[in-house]
Amino acid sequence: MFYPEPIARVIEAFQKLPGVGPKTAQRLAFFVLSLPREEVVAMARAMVNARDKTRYCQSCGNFSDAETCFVCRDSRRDQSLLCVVQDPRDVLALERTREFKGLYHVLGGAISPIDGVGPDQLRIRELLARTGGGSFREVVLATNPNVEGEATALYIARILKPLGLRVTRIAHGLPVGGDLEYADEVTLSRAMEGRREF
Amino acid sequence: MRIEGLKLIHFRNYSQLELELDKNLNLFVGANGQGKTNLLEAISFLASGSSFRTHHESEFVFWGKKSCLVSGIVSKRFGKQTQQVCYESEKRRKIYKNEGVLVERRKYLGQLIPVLFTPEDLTLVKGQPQGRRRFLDEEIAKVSPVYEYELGRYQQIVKQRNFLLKKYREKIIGSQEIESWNEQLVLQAVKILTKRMAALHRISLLARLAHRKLTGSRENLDINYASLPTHQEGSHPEQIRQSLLESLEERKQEEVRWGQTLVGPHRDDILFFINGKNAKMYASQGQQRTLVLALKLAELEYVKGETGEYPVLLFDDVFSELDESRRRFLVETIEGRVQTFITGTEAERLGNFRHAGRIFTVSRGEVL
Repeated sequence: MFYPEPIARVIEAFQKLPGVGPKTAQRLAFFVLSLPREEVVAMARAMVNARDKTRYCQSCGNFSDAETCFVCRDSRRDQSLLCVVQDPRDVLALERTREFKGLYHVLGGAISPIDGVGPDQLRIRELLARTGGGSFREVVLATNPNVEGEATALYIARILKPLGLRVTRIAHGLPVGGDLEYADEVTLSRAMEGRREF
Repeated sequence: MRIEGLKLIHFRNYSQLELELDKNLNLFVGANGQGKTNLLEAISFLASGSSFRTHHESEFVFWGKKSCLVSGIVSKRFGKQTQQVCYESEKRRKIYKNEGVLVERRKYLGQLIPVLFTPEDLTLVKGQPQGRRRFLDEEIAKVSPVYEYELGRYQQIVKQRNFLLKKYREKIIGSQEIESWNEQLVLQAVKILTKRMAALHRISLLARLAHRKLTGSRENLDINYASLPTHQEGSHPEQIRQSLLESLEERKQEEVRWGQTLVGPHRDDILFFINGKNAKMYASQGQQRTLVLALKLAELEYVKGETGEYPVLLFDDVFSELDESRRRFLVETIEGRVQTFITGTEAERLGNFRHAGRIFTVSRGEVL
């Protein structure tokens, strides 16, 4: 297709977004062209601004607009409970529950040798430094339940347990509110494996 | 279970086809290259969206078309249901439906279970261990909806760990990282092993029975699960876990040298013994054929035992290769109980069945 150079550049740029192919990119580009100039400028500024102002929390690795993130700044949080997650998005997911009152530690991924991600590429050294001080009573491992997340949890458990910390792993099993009969077999069989004394 | 009706649209060399099937026996007869096996393939496609012949899914689609569809009316003890699989070659995706309603693949599988016997099965005894493992894994997957997932997970762990071993060999990482993968590897290996050993135990008893009948009690078939370290049938999972961990420790150096995980179910094998002799070494062509037939009959009973219902039996070209007495035994075993589909070049050589069933003549993508 022969677009004028500027339009082609916009389409190219949109294609870099996740889940956006050539067709969607084209649609988005033409939509942008139809917007008033101020709105386009505002959009572009918002992106650049977010990119410039967002950094990682020095303490936990979460997204933040200051040195430390909103969780780490909050003195009402339980300073003895730490939850280890893979991604800043996991922090937001857990925050939505409003149930977890401890602090977080964001690893920035999971161990996956094939993708070249080992413990050194994750914020595991920082985790050790944080927990080494002895202020934490329990560390909850909330990495994903897939092969890589599990490997990460096992790795961390191996290095934290000798420090005398209580290390726990979040349960996996049935979605709440759903009926047993609608759960898929894998979830259901995992839930059965993870059953506990009642 | 039985397939009452089958419909193909743009599948392989069939543009449009609707068949009403006999509830016991269906013969597809015709010259080579006319599309007989394509019909059996359509049944396995209907069951799982995959084929026993190819991994190149674009081959499913009629030349020049963009999608293919196979649908069937499957009747079981508790009623019947129309199920269908559609493959779209442009989007490379499959769509599974029950009664016209979209369902996930995971929920779709296991509704129709085929047991297939092809000429390639005859290489099961003397071929690579991989083929025998696949045979067993496929059997378990037919009756256990979780198995495919657990096996995939195990293979993913092995893949990651192999990568790690190579890195360790090149001194890029320390051994601590490998050890945390060992834990997960062993945990998953135990799941696979316990399922495999329990299933093989059942199948071996059933196969031994069938084999004895096939040979007029002259031969005794034993089937063993071979693994390193050796696990006893019925071992406690914790015992298996321990022995796997020890074995991993012992072979650590070797694993690093090869950059391969050398312990676990992905290295195991199934051994057949006829009258105490290893069939891989000593079995004649005829003995291999009998053994595989006994295994297939055991499969039927195994599926029946696990799901409460006989699967459908697909015979691709092998039937005419069996001798008179084996054919008679086979017919006695399955007739009236198992819906059977047979392909062959000549109708008269298939004529052992008391009830004729339905004979379809296949010619250039048309069925008469």
